[in-house]
Amino acid sequence: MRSIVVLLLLCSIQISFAQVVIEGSLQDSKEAVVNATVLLYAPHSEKILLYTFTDSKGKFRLTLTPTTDSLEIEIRHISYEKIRQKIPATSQKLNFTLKESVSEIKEIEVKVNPVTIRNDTTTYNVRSFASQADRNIKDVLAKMPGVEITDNGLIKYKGKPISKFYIDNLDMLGKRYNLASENVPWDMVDEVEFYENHQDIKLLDSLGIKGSNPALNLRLNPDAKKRITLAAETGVGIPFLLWDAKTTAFKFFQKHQFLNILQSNNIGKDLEKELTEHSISLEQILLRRFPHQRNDLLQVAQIANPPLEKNRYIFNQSASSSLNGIVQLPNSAQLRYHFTYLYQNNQNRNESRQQLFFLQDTITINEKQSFTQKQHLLQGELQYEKNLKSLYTKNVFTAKKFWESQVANASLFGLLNVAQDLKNPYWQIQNEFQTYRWQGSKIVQWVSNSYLKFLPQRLQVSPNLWQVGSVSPERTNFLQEVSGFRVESENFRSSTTEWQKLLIRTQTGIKVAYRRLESKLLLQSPEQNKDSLGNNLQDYSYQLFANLNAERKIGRRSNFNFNAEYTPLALWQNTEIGLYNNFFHQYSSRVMFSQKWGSWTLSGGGGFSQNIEEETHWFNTQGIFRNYRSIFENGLLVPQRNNWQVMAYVFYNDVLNGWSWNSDVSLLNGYNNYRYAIDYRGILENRQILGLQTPFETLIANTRFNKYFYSARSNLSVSGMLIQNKSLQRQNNQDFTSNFQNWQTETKFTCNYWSFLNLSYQGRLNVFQTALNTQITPPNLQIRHQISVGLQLKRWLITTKTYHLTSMQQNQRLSNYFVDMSLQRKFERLEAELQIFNLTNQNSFTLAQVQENILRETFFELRPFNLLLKVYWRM
Amino acid sequence: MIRSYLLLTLTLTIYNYLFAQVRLGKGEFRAVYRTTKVADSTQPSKISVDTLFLEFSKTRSVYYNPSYRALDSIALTRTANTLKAAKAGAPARLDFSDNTLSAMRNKNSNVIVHCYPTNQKLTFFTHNLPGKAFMYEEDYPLFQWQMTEETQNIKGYLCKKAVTHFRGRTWEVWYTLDIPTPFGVWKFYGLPGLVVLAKDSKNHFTFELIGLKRLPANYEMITHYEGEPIAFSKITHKKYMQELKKYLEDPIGYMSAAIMNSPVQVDVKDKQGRDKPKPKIIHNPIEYE
Repeated sequence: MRSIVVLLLLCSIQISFAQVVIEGSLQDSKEAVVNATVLLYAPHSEKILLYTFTDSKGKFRLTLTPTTDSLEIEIRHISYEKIRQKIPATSQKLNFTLKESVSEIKEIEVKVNPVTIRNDTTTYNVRSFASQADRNIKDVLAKMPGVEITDNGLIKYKGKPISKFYIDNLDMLGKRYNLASENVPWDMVDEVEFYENHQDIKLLDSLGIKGSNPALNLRLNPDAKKRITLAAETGVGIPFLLWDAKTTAFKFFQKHQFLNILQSNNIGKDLEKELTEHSISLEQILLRRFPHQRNDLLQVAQIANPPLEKNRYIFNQSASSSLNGIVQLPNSAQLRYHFTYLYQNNQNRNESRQQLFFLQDTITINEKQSFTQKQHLLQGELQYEKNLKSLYTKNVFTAKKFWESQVANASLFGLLNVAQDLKNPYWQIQNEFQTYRWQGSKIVQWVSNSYLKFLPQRLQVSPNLWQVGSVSPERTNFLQEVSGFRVESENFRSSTTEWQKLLIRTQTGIKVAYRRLESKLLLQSPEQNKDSLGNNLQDYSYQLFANLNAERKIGRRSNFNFNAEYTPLALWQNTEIGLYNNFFHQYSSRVMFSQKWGSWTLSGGGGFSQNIEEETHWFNTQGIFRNYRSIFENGLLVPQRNNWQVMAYVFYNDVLNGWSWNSDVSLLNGYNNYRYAIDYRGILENRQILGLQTPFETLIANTRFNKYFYSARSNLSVSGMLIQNKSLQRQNNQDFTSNFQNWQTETKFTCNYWSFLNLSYQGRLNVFQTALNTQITPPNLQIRHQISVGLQLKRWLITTKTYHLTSMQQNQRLSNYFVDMSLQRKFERLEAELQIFNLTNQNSFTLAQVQENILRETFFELRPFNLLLKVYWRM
Repeated sequence: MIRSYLLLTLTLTIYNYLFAQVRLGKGEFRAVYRTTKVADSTQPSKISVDTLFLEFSKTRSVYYNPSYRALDSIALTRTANTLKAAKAGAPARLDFSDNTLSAMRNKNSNVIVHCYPTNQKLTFFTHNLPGKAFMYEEDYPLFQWQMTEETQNIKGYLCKKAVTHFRGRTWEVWYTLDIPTPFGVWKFYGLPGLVVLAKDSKNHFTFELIGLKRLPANYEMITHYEGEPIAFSKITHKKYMQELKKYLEDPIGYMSAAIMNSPVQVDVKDKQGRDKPKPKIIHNPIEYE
């Protein structure tokens, strides 16, 4: 009985809600409407029961089993007005005529992604990071998450220095990329790309051998690639006559690029910084291309520079001209050139007061010093590179000529004037050649590097201050001439093979060097006491080397690297006191391991090495007569260094969310073993072999945290650094341990949230401390704040920069405060700017240091209040 | 062996220099999507981001990667110049190894056209697999949409949620009735409005609407740039998935077979002549079957 009732009930439902078919057609005033959406809703509801689209004839058909008496039908089409009406829930035919829509569809403006990541390439949209206050691409790069720019312009990406700086895929400047980062206007660049683990050698790339460092590429906007751009800036100012002028010409075509800069100023701008050569990468080390720095043989005594920006204390006249370019040749070859002439005439003046506190008395020493440095640098570099998948060849020829004259005049107690005059010329010619090619199943690399240096240098000090017998100091002149000459050639072969999942690279080669060092010392006094001391050194060295590098990838995330090198060195030295033949074993080994987890990279390793310090042992006179204050010191010859090193790196980079944390710690421990020492007493020379081992320990730790807030267009970075240097030193036959520590923390914040306001803050705390044996000097603290506010009102931009430096030691506290302002107005084609430098007219800067029983105060002369009117123009 | 592999890649792009462009009529709107993809499911934190366009009219739509097209046009000009020089007697030499083109190799060349060639079909074009260009057609309906009552305001549009299971993945798709069109991003088709946000349940793939604008009056939708050097072989979806699998399991072998036009046995051996495991590509497919 019950089942019958249920059946009846079911039948009644079946009857009242039978399947209905709603069909119809849509048309506008002319024709059928295709692909319109037809939706059915339950009455007074937004619940979609069913929907369909009209076919090519504008027809639709919907079949459903309704649960209510009525339904609502809705017709939607992007070009027509919406129709919604109530209909009975029965089968029916409906025809609609649609009216064209009058209201526009709501468009969404595409906001370009600030960052796009595609495999190993991360692309930054320049406009998302730039602001009106920025001028060069470097200003914008510094704000991008994951990017760090150090004080000398070195660019790091995700904690690693970049190995290449491409402009539209051409590497025009090589390691001198400051020229581009400081001169290319940001608005010429659309995107900045970073290639991780970049391999520029196609032959290696095709085998999947990745590079260890990232590379940067500037993608220019199409306009910048079509024409030559000329940019000029000219400024004149008071006190009469200040000038700052620069003309830049760029051409960034597909096959030919150039960047030519002509500039001159006397407002303290450092033109040498643009020529900085950044060459830190693992590839360079594997190629044994260590930076060849200019090491002068002689120096004048000079008080250390104040912890200020250079343009505040340098009085200069500088000019430079730099021509750089790259030409693409057929068959994937390219030719790169670089020619520079730089002239600098820098002066700085300072005064120091030292108070020596003794039990009974206090002695005060006053000293005024002016230092003038004139430099001419002429350098040229030509590079030919052929980069095919089957062959790679590169040759770089560099020639440098450098003249320097330094004059330092000091006045002691206002009575005694001491003049130091140094001529420091320097010649360098070098050629570096390398080629990669297939030999059987191996890739073989041949490298041949040759270097020639010549430094005939001369220092005159008058009157000389050290006592020689009865000769009174006022009347003695001192002249030292040192001439260094060195020629070396390094040739080696590397081969790369794969064995048992290991990538093995072996290097074997020879390095031959000849050097000559002539040193002549002359003491002159009017009482015919003329003494001279000659000291010549000549040596030949032969060095063989064998290096083995093995790399093993474990999965896709881990990497293990082992490197071992043995380098026997044979040294024939012909000195004034005899002929020495020496044979040294030099060896080193290193192990590194790295592991990746998502955004984390951890790596660590350690090594051991025993080597001969190349650059020190040929300057055996260094430190002897370097300044008129010092009495003779021990000289060094052939220091042998044994050390071990451990290091660890932690990198965390999540660019899409703007987080980055990069840290590294390295500890170097070992001892220097001075094989010989030259001890001068008066002008008598005494050479002896020292068995002295001087231990040293260096700890360097760096950490940098960075967060970029995409929505607020703000960047916050906090970094810290610690350097600790411990060593045993010997002076006047007394041993003492010196311990130097320097901590530094820095906070930087920039905010471009409001387009009319640019804010930036930089705060830096620097702590120095030295200890000699158990005597600890009170720490010296330097706190620096720099705040910059830029306000844009239509075409006007007002920028104020304040700079505050406090130096503290014990109860001494000294504060200095600077304000700079600028007022800019933009016109159609040019821009005018009024720069106000040192608004508060701070003429001097004071620094105080306490050491043992000495209080030393130094007053540096600063560039006073300046006004400069500048015009910028670009064509 | 590696050497022969190099030679093969060099000659890769000259294969099939033919015209293959389809004109799809006037376009009315362009929707811009930001897509994210976890290319390797073992490394879910490594996300690649791309920007893709969906252009649509009343009758058709085309979904493509604009940066691929731009790069392709550079490659094309270069190829055309080389061939012109070759005709004049210069040795034909194509260099596809610079950064621009290596960037192109990493990009997605897929193009999806809805309601083409008929109203009941979509067409998929690709030359992602080395040396080969494929197209296949698929019949609607591909998706069984489950409509829900959930709503959310995204980018200023009132959006409704629909869920579907498609070839091994579960998709959550938010669409808006304010822009009524059946054409969706990627293969999505048949929702009553434009897709504003779509993601799969594993968060491996997302499509996010970041821009919408009306196209200029005379804008014509096309599948590829004119003269793009690809002739597409027509296969089925099933066959394409087989080809993809073949390529991923043995990319070198696949490449050499594709170029030589005949099955060449490539043995991967180390220096001692022992067999080495063939390199594979780890892939996270959007469709599992």
